[in-house]
Amino acid sequence: MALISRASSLFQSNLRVLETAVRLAGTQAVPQENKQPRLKKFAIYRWDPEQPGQKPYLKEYEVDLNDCGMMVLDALVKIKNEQDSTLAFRRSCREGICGSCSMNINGTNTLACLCKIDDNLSKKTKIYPLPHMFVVKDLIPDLSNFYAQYKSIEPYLKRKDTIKAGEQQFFQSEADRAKLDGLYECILCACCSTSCPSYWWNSDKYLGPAVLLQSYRWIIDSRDEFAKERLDKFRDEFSVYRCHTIMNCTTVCPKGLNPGQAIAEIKKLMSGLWKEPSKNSSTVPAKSA
Amino acid sequence: MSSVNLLRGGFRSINSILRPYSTVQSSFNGRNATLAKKNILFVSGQQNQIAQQSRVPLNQYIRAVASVHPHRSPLEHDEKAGLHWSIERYLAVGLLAIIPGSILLETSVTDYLLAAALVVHANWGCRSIIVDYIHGKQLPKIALAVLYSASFLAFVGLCYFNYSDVGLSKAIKKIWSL
Amino acid sequence: MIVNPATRILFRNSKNLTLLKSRTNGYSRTAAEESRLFWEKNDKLKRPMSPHLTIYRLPQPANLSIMHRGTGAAMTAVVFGFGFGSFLWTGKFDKVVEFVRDNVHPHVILTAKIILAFPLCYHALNGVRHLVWDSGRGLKLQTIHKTGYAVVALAFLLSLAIGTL
Repeated sequence: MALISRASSLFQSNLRVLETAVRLAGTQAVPQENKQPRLKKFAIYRWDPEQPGQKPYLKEYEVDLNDCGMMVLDALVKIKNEQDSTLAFRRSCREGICGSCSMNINGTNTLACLCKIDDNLSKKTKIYPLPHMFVVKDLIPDLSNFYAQYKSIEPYLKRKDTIKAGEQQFFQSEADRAKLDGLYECILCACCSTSCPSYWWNSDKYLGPAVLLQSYRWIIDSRDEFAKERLDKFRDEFSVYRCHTIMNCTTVCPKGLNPGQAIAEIKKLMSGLWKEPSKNSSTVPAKSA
Repeated sequence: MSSVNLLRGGFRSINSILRPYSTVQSSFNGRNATLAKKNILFVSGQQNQIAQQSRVPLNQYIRAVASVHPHRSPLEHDEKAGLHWSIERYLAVGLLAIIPGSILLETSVTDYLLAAALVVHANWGCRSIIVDYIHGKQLPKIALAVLYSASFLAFVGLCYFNYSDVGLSKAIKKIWSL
Repeated sequence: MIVNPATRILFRNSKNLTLLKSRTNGYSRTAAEESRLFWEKNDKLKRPMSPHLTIYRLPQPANLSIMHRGTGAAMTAVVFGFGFGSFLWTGKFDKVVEFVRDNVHPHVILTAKIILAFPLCYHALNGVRHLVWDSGRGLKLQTIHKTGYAVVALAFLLSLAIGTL
């Protein structure tokens, strides 16, 4: 009896496997019959640090779009796999969250993994590294200065009480938390900063939209108590005031954030005419140790 | 951070170049300093591992002062930076009022006000252009000196015009009635 | 006294004592230090700068922004020129007006008036747009594009109106 029930359950599970197999076979792509290859030209900026005397140049590649994923990153990976393994570019998550594959595609800074390949075969897709950056190799820029500027704004919670980290929870009302929406999602891809002409001409002293967006994120965080000091650090001609509201930053942000707005809010707070929104309105006062 | 103490005792040229970042520590004083050190140590602990893995060997970046990138000059902390920004905006609003106002009213007071507002607004605007595009140690200073002297001369010229000739608003009206 | 391992290495190997000291405590670097390293490293390696103006497709707001700057600079030149001219020109202003009236065709004068009015109108209207931005309003991307088109259109109309006054 047990044998029969066991056999029947085995039979049923096998049936299910067969069912799934049949269903999957039905969804498999029908092999393309005599389909013309859709060849798309990519013109990619190349420079090899191993040959320093050589000037950067544009190299052209052709990719069959029938055999390639939809995004520019797919094309780049395909070129690297099949045509030219010396092509160098940064990439990681392939889904627009890590910020590694930021580059200039057809004149605009985007993430390659989120930029759909234009189906128009008569046009070339031009791929350059992020503008006005020192090039390490091919499409890879040196972002150390960008990261150093991010470090300089102290992007962490700072408080004036004596609580040790991990000792106590800092409460935050929903309204205060809502103020961080549109600020915390920054993935530091550098698309915005490298699209800003002011950052092109003054990247050593002007902080750039990405870093300023993040500094605003900490300034208006209700749990942070160093807002005045953070703003005071910007009291010079360059750190914030090189922004002339050109708004290239908001145009290119792949996450849809608005650094221009954040910088405008920083300028408002620095002018002294606008007061910071009240903080810690519903935060339980922290007990001093 | 012990690195800050090195900053204070170190070479003056480095001090001036690195001043903007050294003010990081200036907000910590007294009671907060001990707390700050605690917080910083907490952060440094995480940075240690990352820094040690990616540290550039010392002999690669110990260089003479003169080879520091010529782009960089010290960021001067200007306490009044926010105030200056506000006054620029007030002047812009004022200019929007004084241009039609002086043409309508045609008094000598509005003429002088117009001259002053125009020159100051132009001066601040051109200052922005110079600071944006002209880099280096001496060249921006020279360019700004030229700008300020030109503005001064222009203002004096306009006042002279207001005083000895028909005045700005009447001049505009005369030209426009051609 | 804490001995900085960085200093020790420096003094042992260096001949020139004015060489830049590394500010590291041997573990983590300050932001200023990292910035300095960035510039020195890129200078030394002579890396190329990636292209910018030659390849970047500047969007509409950026073009309007540079036009704002351009019209401002042009008008500065006119105003300052007028100021210098009042020193250099020995006669009265009426003479200038008569000279222009006698020697320039009225149609040319009309076109010149419209062309001269446009920078003023555009700069003033875009200036208002800038002031609105400074109050924190109107910084959504769609709003910026719409107001941009509106400012250019209004500036054309206004300069036509003023030019034909």
